[in-house]
Amino acid sequence: MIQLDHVWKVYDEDRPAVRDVSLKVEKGEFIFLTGPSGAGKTTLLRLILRQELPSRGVVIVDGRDIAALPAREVPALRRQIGVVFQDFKLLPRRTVFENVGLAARISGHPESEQKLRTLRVLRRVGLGKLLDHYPPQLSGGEQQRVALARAIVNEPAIVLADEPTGNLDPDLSVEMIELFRQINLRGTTVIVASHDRALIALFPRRVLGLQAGRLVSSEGEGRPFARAVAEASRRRAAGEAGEGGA
Amino acid sequence: MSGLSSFRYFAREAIRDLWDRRSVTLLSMATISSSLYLVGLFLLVARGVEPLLGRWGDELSVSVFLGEGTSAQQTDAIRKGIAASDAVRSFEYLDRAGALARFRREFPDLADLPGLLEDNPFPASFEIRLRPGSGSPEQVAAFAASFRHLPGVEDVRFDAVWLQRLRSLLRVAWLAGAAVGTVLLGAAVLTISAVVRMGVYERRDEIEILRLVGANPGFIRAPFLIEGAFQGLAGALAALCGISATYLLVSRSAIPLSIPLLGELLGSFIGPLDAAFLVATGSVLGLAGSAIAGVRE
Repeated sequence: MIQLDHVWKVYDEDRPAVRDVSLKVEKGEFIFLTGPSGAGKTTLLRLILRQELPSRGVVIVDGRDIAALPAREVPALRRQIGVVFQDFKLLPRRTVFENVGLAARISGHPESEQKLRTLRVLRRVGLGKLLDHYPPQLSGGEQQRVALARAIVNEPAIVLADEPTGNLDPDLSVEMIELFRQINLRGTTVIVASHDRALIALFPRRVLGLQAGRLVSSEGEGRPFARAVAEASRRRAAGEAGEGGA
Repeated sequence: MSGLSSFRYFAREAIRDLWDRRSVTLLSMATISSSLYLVGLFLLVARGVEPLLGRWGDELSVSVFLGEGTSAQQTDAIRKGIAASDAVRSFEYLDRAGALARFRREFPDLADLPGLLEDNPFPASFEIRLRPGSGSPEQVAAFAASFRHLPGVEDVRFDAVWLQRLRSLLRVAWLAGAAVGTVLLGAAVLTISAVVRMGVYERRDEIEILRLVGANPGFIRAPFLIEGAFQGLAGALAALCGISATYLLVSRSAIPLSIPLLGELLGSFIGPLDAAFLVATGSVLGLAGSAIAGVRE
Protein backbone atom coordinates (compact mmCIF):
# COMPACT_ATOMS: atom_id res chain seq x y z
CA MET A 1 0.00 0.00 0.00
CA ILE A 2 2.72 2.45 1.06
CA GLN A 3 6.39 1.99 0.40
CA LEU A 4 9.32 4.29 1.08
CA ASP A 5 12.60 3.37 -0.53
CA HIS A 6 15.77 5.09 0.75
CA VAL A 7 13.89 8.33 1.22
CA TRP A 8 15.67 11.50 2.26
CA LYS A 9 14.18 14.89 2.93
CA VAL A 10 16.71 17.63 3.37
CA TYR A 11 15.80 21.20 4.32
CA ASP A 12 19.09 21.83 6.05
CA GLU A 13 22.14 19.93 4.76
CA ASP A 14 23.50 19.59 8.28
CA ARG A 15 20.30 18.14 9.70
CA PRO A 16 18.21 16.18 7.18
CA ALA A 17 14.59 15.83 8.37
CA VAL A 18 14.39 12.28 7.01
CA ARG A 19 17.49 10.15 6.41
CA ASP A 20 17.49 7.12 4.21
CA VAL A 21 14.18 5.73 5.44
CA SER A 22 12.88 2.55 3.85
CA LEU A 23 9.65 0.98 5.01
CA LYS A 24 6.65 -0.88 3.76
CA VAL A 25 3.08 -0.64 5.06
CA GLU A 26 0.68 -3.34 3.94
CA LYS A 27 -2.95 -2.72 3.10
CA GLY A 28 -5.11 -2.76 6.24
CA GLU A 29 -2.16 -2.40 8.61
CA PHE A 30 -2.18 -0.17 11.71
CA ILE A 31 1.15 1.41 12.43
CA PHE A 32 2.42 3.76 15.08
CA LEU A 33 5.17 6.12 14.06
CA THR A 34 6.96 7.31 17.12
CA GLY A 35 9.97 9.19 18.28
CA PRO A 36 10.81 12.44 20.03
CA SER A 37 9.92 15.86 18.68
CA GLY A 38 11.92 16.64 15.54
CA ALA A 39 12.45 12.95 14.77
CA GLY A 40 10.84 13.33 11.34
CA LYS A 41 7.37 11.85 11.98
CA THR A 42 5.46 14.78 10.55
CA THR A 43 7.81 15.05 7.57
CA LEU A 44 7.26 11.39 6.80
CA LEU A 45 3.48 11.87 6.83
CA ARG A 46 3.82 14.97 4.66
CA LEU A 47 5.86 12.93 2.17
CA ILE A 48 3.12 10.29 1.99
CA LEU A 49 0.47 13.00 1.47
CA ARG A 50 2.72 14.61 -1.16
CA GLN A 51 2.81 17.82 0.77
CA GLU A 52 6.56 17.44 0.35
CA LEU A 53 8.65 15.79 -2.33
CA PRO A 54 11.54 13.59 -1.28
CA SER A 55 15.03 15.02 -1.80
CA ARG A 56 16.15 11.49 -2.67
CA GLY A 57 14.47 8.10 -2.82
CA VAL A 58 11.01 6.98 -3.84
CA VAL A 59 7.62 7.19 -2.10
CA ILE A 60 5.08 4.77 -3.52
CA VAL A 61 1.41 4.95 -2.56
CA ASP A 62 -0.99 2.44 -4.00
CA GLY A 63 1.58 1.37 -6.60
CA ARG A 64 2.35 4.89 -7.84
CA ASP A 65 5.54 6.88 -7.39
CA ILE A 66 3.87 9.99 -6.03
CA ALA A 67 6.79 12.28 -6.81
CA ALA A 68 6.21 11.49 -10.49
CA LEU A 69 2.49 12.25 -10.30
CA PRO A 70 1.42 15.19 -12.46
CA ALA A 71 0.06 18.08 -10.37
CA ARG A 72 -3.47 17.52 -11.71
CA GLU A 73 -3.52 14.01 -10.18
CA VAL A 74 -2.45 15.10 -6.72
CA PRO A 75 -5.99 15.99 -5.53
CA ALA A 76 -7.19 12.49 -6.45
CA LEU A 77 -4.30 10.96 -4.46
CA ARG A 78 -5.19 13.12 -1.46
CA ARG A 79 -8.82 12.07 -1.66
CA GLN A 80 -7.61 8.49 -1.09
CA ILE A 81 -5.90 9.61 2.10
CA GLY A 82 -7.71 10.94 5.14
CA VAL A 83 -5.59 13.14 7.36
CA VAL A 84 -5.98 14.16 10.99
CA PHE A 85 -3.74 17.08 11.79
CA GLN A 86 -2.29 17.81 15.17
CA ASP A 87 -3.76 21.33 15.09
CA PHE A 88 -7.07 19.93 13.72
CA LYS A 89 -7.12 22.37 10.79
CA LEU A 90 -10.84 22.98 11.09
CA LEU A 91 -12.58 25.94 9.50
CA PRO A 92 -13.64 28.10 12.45
CA ARG A 93 -16.50 29.82 10.63
CA ARG A 94 -18.08 26.56 9.48
CA THR A 95 -20.24 24.33 11.59
CA VAL A 96 -19.21 20.83 12.53
CA PHE A 97 -21.51 19.51 9.83
CA GLU A 98 -20.06 21.86 7.20
CA ASN A 99 -16.47 21.05 8.13
CA VAL A 100 -17.05 17.35 7.60
CA GLY A 101 -19.49 17.79 4.71
CA LEU A 102 -16.91 19.81 2.81
CA ALA A 103 -14.67 16.76 2.43
CA ALA A 104 -17.67 14.74 1.21
CA ARG A 105 -18.51 17.48 -1.26
CA ILE A 106 -14.97 17.57 -2.61
CA SER A 107 -15.22 13.87 -3.41
CA GLY A 108 -18.08 14.67 -5.75
CA HIS A 109 -20.79 12.52 -4.17
CA PRO A 110 -24.39 13.49 -4.91
CA GLU A 111 -25.71 16.01 -2.38
CA SER A 112 -28.02 13.55 -0.59
CA GLU A 113 -25.13 11.08 -0.29
CA GLN A 114 -22.88 13.80 1.11
CA LYS A 115 -25.37 14.58 3.84
CA LEU A 116 -25.96 10.94 4.67
CA ARG A 117 -22.24 10.18 4.91
CA THR A 118 -21.59 13.27 7.00
CA LEU A 119 -24.37 12.49 9.45
CA ARG A 120 -23.35 8.86 9.72
CA VAL A 121 -19.69 9.58 10.37
CA LEU A 122 -20.44 12.33 12.90
CA ARG A 123 -22.67 9.94 14.82
CA ARG A 124 -19.93 7.34 14.65
CA VAL A 125 -17.44 9.64 16.38
CA GLY A 126 -20.07 10.71 18.91
CA LEU A 127 -20.78 14.19 17.60
CA GLY A 128 -24.33 13.63 16.38
CA LYS A 129 -25.65 16.32 18.73
CA LEU A 130 -23.11 18.99 17.88
CA LEU A 131 -23.75 19.31 14.15
CA ASP A 132 -24.53 23.02 14.24
CA HIS A 133 -21.74 23.98 16.62
CA TYR A 134 -18.69 25.89 15.47
CA PRO A 135 -15.19 24.59 16.24
CA PRO A 136 -14.36 27.35 18.74
CA GLN A 137 -17.40 26.22 20.76
CA LEU A 138 -15.98 22.69 21.07
CA SER A 139 -13.47 21.15 23.44
CA GLY A 140 -10.10 19.90 22.12
CA GLY A 141 -11.30 16.32 22.12
CA GLU A 142 -14.46 17.22 20.22
CA GLN A 143 -12.48 19.20 17.66
CA GLN A 144 -10.13 16.27 17.21
CA ARG A 145 -13.12 14.01 16.58
CA VAL A 146 -14.45 16.44 13.97
CA ALA A 147 -11.05 16.27 12.30
CA LEU A 148 -11.22 12.47 12.41
CA ALA A 149 -14.75 12.47 11.00
CA ARG A 150 -13.57 14.67 8.15
CA ALA A 151 -10.67 12.32 7.50
CA ILE A 152 -12.85 9.23 7.24
CA VAL A 153 -16.07 10.60 5.73
CA ASN A 154 -15.04 9.44 2.26
CA GLU A 155 -13.90 6.03 3.54
CA PRO A 156 -10.34 6.55 2.32
CA ALA A 157 -7.96 3.66 1.82
CA ILE A 158 -5.41 5.31 4.11
CA VAL A 159 -5.74 7.44 7.23
CA LEU A 160 -2.76 9.44 8.46
CA ALA A 161 -2.86 11.06 11.88
CA ASP A 162 -0.23 13.45 13.14
CA GLU A 163 -0.14 13.51 16.93
CA PRO A 164 -3.92 13.08 17.12
CA THR A 165 -3.77 12.90 20.90
CA GLY A 166 -1.26 15.69 21.37
CA ASN A 167 -3.86 18.08 22.78
CA LEU A 168 -6.00 15.55 24.62
CA ASP A 169 -6.06 14.25 28.17
CA PRO A 170 -5.18 10.56 28.71
CA ASP A 171 -8.77 9.30 28.71
CA LEU A 172 -9.67 11.15 25.52
CA SER A 173 -6.42 9.95 23.95
CA VAL A 174 -7.38 6.34 24.56
CA GLU A 175 -10.84 7.03 23.14
CA MET A 176 -9.31 8.57 20.05
CA ILE A 177 -6.93 5.69 19.40
CA GLU A 178 -9.85 3.32 19.90
CA LEU A 179 -11.64 5.16 17.09
CA PHE A 180 -8.61 4.65 14.86
CA ARG A 181 -8.60 0.98 15.78
CA GLN A 182 -12.25 0.67 14.74
CA ILE A 183 -11.50 2.37 11.43
CA ASN A 184 -8.64 -0.04 10.91
CA LEU A 185 -10.94 -2.98 11.61
CA ARG A 186 -12.92 -1.95 8.52
CA GLY A 187 -9.81 -2.48 6.38
CA THR A 188 -8.39 1.05 6.29
CA THR A 189 -4.64 1.40 6.52
CA VAL A 190 -3.86 3.63 9.51
CA ILE A 191 -0.62 5.39 10.35
CA VAL A 192 -0.61 7.30 13.62
CA ALA A 193 2.35 9.49 14.50
CA SER A 194 2.63 9.92 18.25
CA HIS A 195 5.32 10.58 20.80
CA ASP A 196 3.05 9.25 23.56
CA ARG A 197 4.83 6.02 24.39
CA ALA A 198 2.45 5.12 27.21
CA LEU A 199 -0.49 5.31 24.85
CA ILE A 200 1.26 3.26 22.17
CA ALA A 201 1.98 0.63 24.78
CA LEU A 202 -1.74 0.22 25.35
CA PHE A 203 -2.41 -0.74 21.74
CA PRO A 204 0.00 -3.42 20.60
CA ARG A 205 0.62 -2.70 16.95
CA ARG A 206 3.66 -2.44 14.70
CA VAL A 207 5.67 0.54 15.86
CA LEU A 208 8.23 2.32 13.71
CA GLY A 209 10.69 4.39 15.67
CA LEU A 210 12.30 7.49 14.25
CA GLN A 211 15.15 9.43 15.69
CA ALA A 212 16.83 12.42 14.06
CA GLY A 213 15.16 11.50 10.78
CA ARG A 214 16.40 7.94 10.80
CA LEU A 215 14.30 4.81 11.22
CA VAL A 216 15.91 3.34 14.30
CA SER A 217 13.71 0.35 14.92
CA SER A 218 10.64 -1.54 13.91
CA GLU A 219 8.88 -3.65 16.47
CA GLY A 220 5.89 -5.92 16.24
CA GLU A 221 4.40 -4.50 19.39
CA GLY A 222 4.38 -1.22 21.13
CA ARG A 223 5.79 -2.13 24.52
CA PRO A 224 9.33 -3.25 23.64
CA PHE A 225 9.80 -0.49 21.11
CA ALA A 226 8.58 2.17 23.47
CA ARG A 227 11.24 0.98 25.86
CA ALA A 228 13.85 1.10 23.13
CA VAL A 229 12.95 4.64 22.20
CA ALA A 230 12.92 5.72 25.83
CA GLU A 231 16.36 4.28 26.30
CA ALA A 232 17.64 5.87 23.12
CA SER A 233 16.28 9.24 24.24
CA ARG A 234 17.88 8.84 27.65
CA ARG A 235 21.19 7.94 26.03
CA ARG A 236 21.04 10.95 23.74
CA ALA A 237 20.17 13.25 26.64
CA ALA A 238 23.01 11.85 28.70
CA GLY A 239 25.42 12.25 25.75
CA GLU A 240 24.39 15.85 25.17
CA ALA A 241 24.73 16.58 28.90
CA GLY A 242 28.19 15.00 28.87
CA GLU A 243 29.28 17.05 25.84
CA GLY A 244 27.90 20.18 27.45
CA GLY A 245 29.82 19.48 30.67
CA ALA A 246 33.19 18.74 28.96
CA MET B 1 -22.33 16.28 -7.48
CA SER B 2 -24.49 17.83 -10.21
CA GLY B 3 -23.49 21.02 -11.99
CA LEU B 4 -26.41 22.93 -10.53
CA SER B 5 -25.71 21.73 -7.02
CA SER B 6 -22.04 22.69 -7.42
CA PHE B 7 -22.99 26.10 -8.73
CA ARG B 8 -25.38 26.65 -5.84
CA TYR B 9 -22.62 25.75 -3.40
CA PHE B 10 -20.01 27.96 -5.07
CA ALA B 11 -22.47 30.87 -5.31
CA ARG B 12 -23.31 30.50 -1.62
CA GLU B 13 -19.62 30.51 -0.77
CA ALA B 14 -19.04 33.55 -2.95
CA ILE B 15 -21.93 35.50 -1.43
CA ARG B 16 -20.82 34.60 2.08
CA ASP B 17 -17.33 35.84 1.30
CA LEU B 18 -18.60 39.02 -0.33
CA TRP B 19 -20.78 39.70 2.70
CA ASP B 20 -17.87 39.14 5.05
CA ARG B 21 -15.92 41.81 3.17
CA ARG B 22 -18.85 44.01 2.26
CA SER B 23 -17.03 47.33 2.61
CA VAL B 24 -14.33 46.55 0.08
CA THR B 25 -16.85 44.71 -2.07
CA LEU B 26 -18.98 47.85 -2.23
CA LEU B 27 -15.92 49.91 -3.10
CA SER B 28 -15.06 47.50 -5.89
CA MET B 29 -18.63 47.52 -7.21
CA ALA B 30 -18.69 51.32 -7.08
CA THR B 31 -15.49 51.46 -9.14
CA ILE B 32 -16.79 49.21 -11.88
CA SER B 33 -20.19 50.84 -11.71
CA SER B 34 -18.83 54.36 -12.22
CA SER B 35 -16.61 53.18 -15.07
CA LEU B 36 -19.50 51.44 -16.80
CA TYR B 37 -21.75 54.43 -16.08
CA LEU B 38 -19.42 56.67 -18.05
CA VAL B 39 -19.10 54.10 -20.83
CA GLY B 40 -22.89 53.80 -20.89
CA LEU B 41 -23.39 57.56 -21.09
CA PHE B 42 -20.94 57.57 -23.96
CA LEU B 43 -23.03 54.88 -25.68
CA LEU B 44 -26.17 56.89 -25.02
CA VAL B 45 -24.75 60.01 -26.65
CA ALA B 46 -23.24 57.97 -29.48
CA ARG B 47 -26.63 56.45 -30.06
CA GLY B 48 -28.08 59.93 -30.45
CA VAL B 49 -25.23 61.33 -32.54
CA GLU B 50 -25.22 58.69 -35.27
CA PRO B 51 -28.85 59.13 -36.39
CA LEU B 52 -28.46 62.90 -36.13
CA LEU B 53 -25.44 62.84 -38.40
CA GLY B 54 -27.29 60.52 -40.76
CA ARG B 55 -30.25 62.88 -40.87
CA TRP B 56 -28.05 65.87 -41.48
CA GLY B 57 -26.28 63.88 -44.19
CA ASP B 58 -29.65 63.10 -45.78
CA GLU B 59 -30.53 66.75 -45.75
CA LEU B 60 -27.49 67.81 -47.77
CA SER B 61 -28.31 70.62 -50.14
CA VAL B 62 -26.53 72.46 -52.93
CA SER B 63 -27.27 76.05 -53.92
CA VAL B 64 -26.51 77.10 -57.50
CA PHE B 65 -26.47 80.92 -57.65
CA LEU B 66 -27.12 82.61 -60.96
CA GLY B 67 -25.45 85.78 -62.20
CA GLU B 68 -27.39 88.97 -62.69
CA GLY B 69 -27.37 88.78 -66.44
CA THR B 70 -28.35 85.15 -66.78
CA SER B 71 -30.72 84.68 -69.69
CA ALA B 72 -33.87 82.57 -69.62
CA GLN B 73 -32.23 80.06 -72.02
CA GLN B 74 -29.21 79.72 -69.72
CA THR B 75 -31.49 79.28 -66.72
CA ASP B 76 -33.44 76.61 -68.59
CA ALA B 77 -30.26 74.77 -69.54
CA ILE B 78 -29.15 74.73 -65.92
CA ARG B 79 -32.61 73.51 -64.86
CA LYS B 80 -32.40 70.62 -67.37
CA GLY B 81 -28.90 69.73 -66.15
CA ILE B 82 -30.11 69.54 -62.55
CA ALA B 83 -33.21 67.53 -63.41
CA ALA B 84 -31.11 65.00 -65.32
CA SER B 85 -28.91 64.16 -62.33
CA ASP B 86 -29.64 60.92 -60.41
CA ALA B 87 -28.30 62.44 -57.20
CA VAL B 88 -31.05 65.06 -57.07
CA ARG B 89 -34.08 64.34 -54.91
CA SER B 90 -35.83 67.66 -55.53
CA PHE B 91 -35.02 71.19 -56.48
CA GLU B 92 -36.71 74.55 -56.72
CA TYR B 93 -35.94 77.72 -58.57
CA LEU B 94 -35.87 80.81 -56.39
CA ASP B 95 -35.91 84.13 -58.28
CA ARG B 96 -34.46 87.26 -56.71
CA ALA B 97 -37.78 88.38 -55.23
CA GLY B 98 -38.34 84.90 -53.80
CA ALA B 99 -34.89 84.92 -52.23
CA LEU B 100 -35.59 88.28 -50.62
CA ALA B 101 -38.93 87.03 -49.32
CA ARG B 102 -37.29 83.94 -47.84
CA PHE B 103 -34.64 86.07 -46.11
CA ARG B 104 -37.34 88.21 -44.54
CA ARG B 105 -39.26 85.10 -43.49
CA GLU B 106 -36.28 83.32 -41.95
CA PHE B 107 -34.65 86.35 -40.33
CA PRO B 108 -37.53 88.59 -39.26
CA ASP B 109 -35.22 90.66 -37.05
CA LEU B 110 -33.21 91.61 -40.11
CA ALA B 111 -36.19 92.02 -42.42
CA ASP B 112 -35.52 95.75 -42.86
CA LEU B 113 -31.90 95.30 -43.80
CA PRO B 114 -32.37 94.83 -47.58
CA GLY B 115 -34.54 97.99 -47.68
CA LEU B 116 -31.52 100.01 -46.68
CA LEU B 117 -29.89 99.04 -49.95
CA GLU B 118 -30.92 100.53 -53.27
CA ASP B 119 -31.37 97.18 -54.90
CA ASN B 120 -32.36 93.62 -53.95
CA PRO B 121 -28.98 92.04 -53.05
CA PHE B 122 -30.10 88.42 -53.34
CA PRO B 123 -29.31 86.48 -56.52
CA ALA B 124 -31.67 83.98 -58.11
CA SER B 125 -30.72 80.37 -57.35
CA PHE B 126 -31.59 76.73 -57.71
CA GLU B 127 -31.96 75.08 -54.26
CA ILE B 128 -31.17 71.40 -54.76
CA ARG B 129 -31.87 68.64 -52.19
CA LEU B 130 -29.79 65.53 -52.75
CA ARG B 131 -31.03 61.98 -52.41
CA PRO B 132 -30.25 60.32 -49.04
CA GLY B 133 -26.87 58.63 -49.20
CA SER B 134 -26.06 60.37 -52.43
CA GLY B 135 -22.40 60.28 -51.69
CA SER B 136 -19.39 61.42 -49.80
CA PRO B 137 -18.43 65.07 -49.49
CA GLU B 138 -16.04 64.48 -52.42
CA GLN B 139 -18.90 63.24 -54.61
CA VAL B 140 -21.06 66.18 -53.56
CA ALA B 141 -18.16 68.51 -54.40
CA ALA B 142 -17.85 66.90 -57.85
CA PHE B 143 -21.60 67.26 -58.37
CA ALA B 144 -21.39 70.94 -57.45
CA ALA B 145 -18.35 71.47 -59.68
CA SER B 146 -20.24 70.11 -62.68
CA PHE B 147 -22.49 73.21 -62.51
CA ARG B 148 -19.87 75.75 -61.58
CA HIS B 149 -18.72 76.43 -65.17
CA LEU B 150 -22.10 76.41 -66.84
CA PRO B 151 -22.95 79.73 -68.52
CA GLY B 152 -25.00 81.90 -66.15
CA VAL B 153 -23.77 80.25 -62.93
CA GLU B 154 -22.04 82.64 -60.61
CA ASP B 155 -21.34 80.40 -57.60
CA VAL B 156 -22.17 76.99 -56.15
CA ARG B 157 -22.32 76.37 -52.38
CA PHE B 158 -22.86 73.18 -50.46
CA ASP B 159 -22.81 72.19 -46.79
CA ALA B 160 -20.97 68.84 -46.88
CA VAL B 161 -17.61 70.12 -45.73
CA TRP B 162 -18.63 71.13 -42.22
CA LEU B 163 -20.46 67.84 -41.86
CA GLN B 164 -17.29 66.00 -42.82
CA ARG B 165 -15.35 68.08 -40.30
CA LEU B 166 -17.92 67.25 -37.63
CA ARG B 167 -17.59 63.55 -38.44
CA SER B 168 -13.79 63.79 -38.13
CA LEU B 169 -14.17 65.58 -34.82
CA LEU B 170 -16.54 62.91 -33.58
CA ARG B 171 -14.12 60.19 -34.66
CA VAL B 172 -11.45 61.81 -32.50
CA ALA B 173 -13.98 62.08 -29.67
CA TRP B 174 -14.80 58.38 -30.12
CA LEU B 175 -11.13 57.41 -29.91
CA ALA B 176 -10.57 59.61 -26.86
CA GLY B 177 -13.70 58.17 -25.25
CA ALA B 178 -12.59 54.62 -26.02
CA ALA B 179 -9.15 55.32 -24.53
CA VAL B 180 -10.61 56.85 -21.36
CA GLY B 181 -13.15 54.00 -21.13
CA THR B 182 -10.37 51.42 -21.47
CA VAL B 183 -8.35 53.07 -18.71
CA LEU B 184 -11.39 53.28 -16.42
CA LEU B 185 -12.42 49.69 -17.05
CA GLY B 186 -8.80 48.56 -16.61
CA ALA B 187 -8.77 50.30 -13.24
CA ALA B 188 -12.05 48.58 -12.35
CA VAL B 189 -10.57 45.17 -13.24
CA LEU B 190 -7.55 45.88 -11.05
CA THR B 191 -9.80 46.92 -8.18
CA ILE B 192 -11.84 43.72 -8.43
CA SER B 193 -8.62 41.76 -8.69
CA ALA B 194 -7.29 43.41 -5.53
CA VAL B 195 -10.52 42.72 -3.63
CA VAL B 196 -10.55 39.07 -4.73
CA ARG B 197 -6.86 38.75 -3.85
CA MET B 198 -7.67 40.11 -0.41
CA GLY B 199 -10.27 37.36 -0.08
CA VAL B 200 -7.74 34.75 -1.18
CA TYR B 201 -5.32 36.07 1.43
CA GLU B 202 -7.93 36.07 4.18
CA ARG B 203 -8.96 32.54 3.30
CA ARG B 204 -5.46 31.17 2.78
CA ASP B 205 -5.81 28.73 5.70
CA GLU B 206 -9.08 27.46 4.30
CA ILE B 207 -7.53 27.12 0.83
CA GLU B 208 -4.64 25.17 2.33
CA ILE B 209 -7.07 22.81 4.09
CA LEU B 210 -9.06 22.35 0.88
CA ARG B 211 -5.86 21.44 -0.95
CA LEU B 212 -4.89 18.93 1.72
CA VAL B 213 -8.24 17.18 1.65
CA GLY B 214 -8.02 16.78 -2.11
CA ALA B 215 -9.97 19.67 -3.62
CA ASN B 216 -9.37 20.22 -7.32
CA PRO B 217 -8.04 23.63 -8.37
CA GLY B 218 -11.41 24.34 -9.99
CA PHE B 219 -13.21 23.68 -6.70
CA ILE B 220 -10.94 26.18 -4.95
CA ARG B 221 -11.10 28.81 -7.70
CA ALA B 222 -14.81 28.68 -8.53
CA PRO B 223 -16.14 30.77 -5.62
CA PHE B 224 -13.56 33.47 -6.30
CA LEU B 225 -14.46 33.58 -10.00
CA ILE B 226 -18.13 33.86 -9.10
CA GLU B 227 -17.27 36.64 -6.65
CA GLY B 228 -15.56 38.61 -9.40
CA ALA B 229 -18.34 38.01 -11.90
CA PHE B 230 -20.95 38.97 -9.31
CA GLN B 231 -19.15 42.22 -8.50
CA GLY B 232 -18.94 43.03 -12.21
CA LEU B 233 -22.58 42.13 -12.79
CA ALA B 234 -23.82 44.13 -9.81
CA GLY B 235 -21.64 47.07 -10.85
CA ALA B 236 -23.06 46.93 -14.38
CA LEU B 237 -26.65 46.80 -13.12
CA ALA B 238 -25.97 49.78 -10.85
CA ALA B 239 -24.45 51.61 -13.82
CA LEU B 240 -27.57 50.86 -15.89
CA CYS B 241 -29.75 52.26 -13.11
CA GLY B 242 -27.54 55.35 -13.01
CA ILE B 243 -27.77 55.82 -16.77
CA SER B 244 -31.57 55.40 -16.67
CA ALA B 245 -31.83 57.95 -13.87
CA THR B 246 -29.62 60.40 -15.75
CA TYR B 247 -31.63 59.90 -18.93
CA LEU B 248 -34.94 60.46 -17.16
CA LEU B 249 -33.61 63.44 -15.24
CA VAL B 250 -32.26 65.17 -18.34
CA SER B 251 -35.04 64.24 -20.75
CA ARG B 252 -37.80 65.38 -18.35
CA SER B 253 -36.09 68.57 -17.33
CA ALA B 254 -36.11 71.86 -19.22
CA ILE B 255 -32.57 71.29 -20.51
CA PRO B 256 -33.61 69.73 -23.87
CA LEU B 257 -35.89 72.72 -24.51
CA SER B 258 -33.14 75.24 -23.87
CA ILE B 259 -30.54 73.16 -25.70
CA PRO B 260 -32.38 71.53 -28.62
CA LEU B 261 -29.29 69.58 -29.73
CA LEU B 262 -29.15 67.87 -26.34
CA GLY B 263 -32.80 66.97 -26.74
CA GLU B 264 -32.00 65.34 -30.07
CA LEU B 265 -28.98 63.50 -28.62
CA LEU B 266 -31.13 62.08 -25.84
CA GLY B 267 -33.83 61.15 -28.30
CA SER B 268 -33.82 57.50 -27.27
CA PHE B 269 -32.52 55.44 -24.36
CA ILE B 270 -29.79 52.84 -24.93
CA GLY B 271 -31.31 49.77 -26.47
CA PRO B 272 -31.53 46.25 -25.02
CA LEU B 273 -28.42 45.21 -26.94
CA ASP B 274 -26.38 48.05 -25.47
CA ALA B 275 -27.73 47.22 -22.01
CA ALA B 276 -26.86 43.54 -22.50
CA PHE B 277 -23.42 44.61 -23.69
CA LEU B 278 -22.89 46.65 -20.51
CA VAL B 279 -24.02 43.81 -18.26
CA ALA B 280 -21.92 41.24 -20.12
CA THR B 281 -18.93 43.58 -20.06
CA GLY B 282 -19.30 44.02 -16.30
CA SER B 283 -19.45 40.27 -15.70
CA VAL B 284 -16.53 39.50 -18.01
CA LEU B 285 -14.42 42.24 -16.40
CA GLY B 286 -15.26 40.82 -12.99
CA LEU B 287 -14.23 37.36 -14.13
CA ALA B 288 -11.03 38.79 -15.59
CA GLY B 289 -10.32 40.55 -12.30
CA SER B 290 -10.70 37.26 -10.43
CA ALA B 291 -8.65 35.37 -12.98
CA ILE B 292 -5.71 37.74 -12.65
CA ALA B 293 -6.02 37.68 -8.86
CA GLY B 294 -3.91 34.53 -9.05
CA VAL B 295 -6.05 31.94 -7.31
CA ARG B 296 -3.84 28.94 -7.73
CA GLU B 297 -4.04 25.32 -6.75
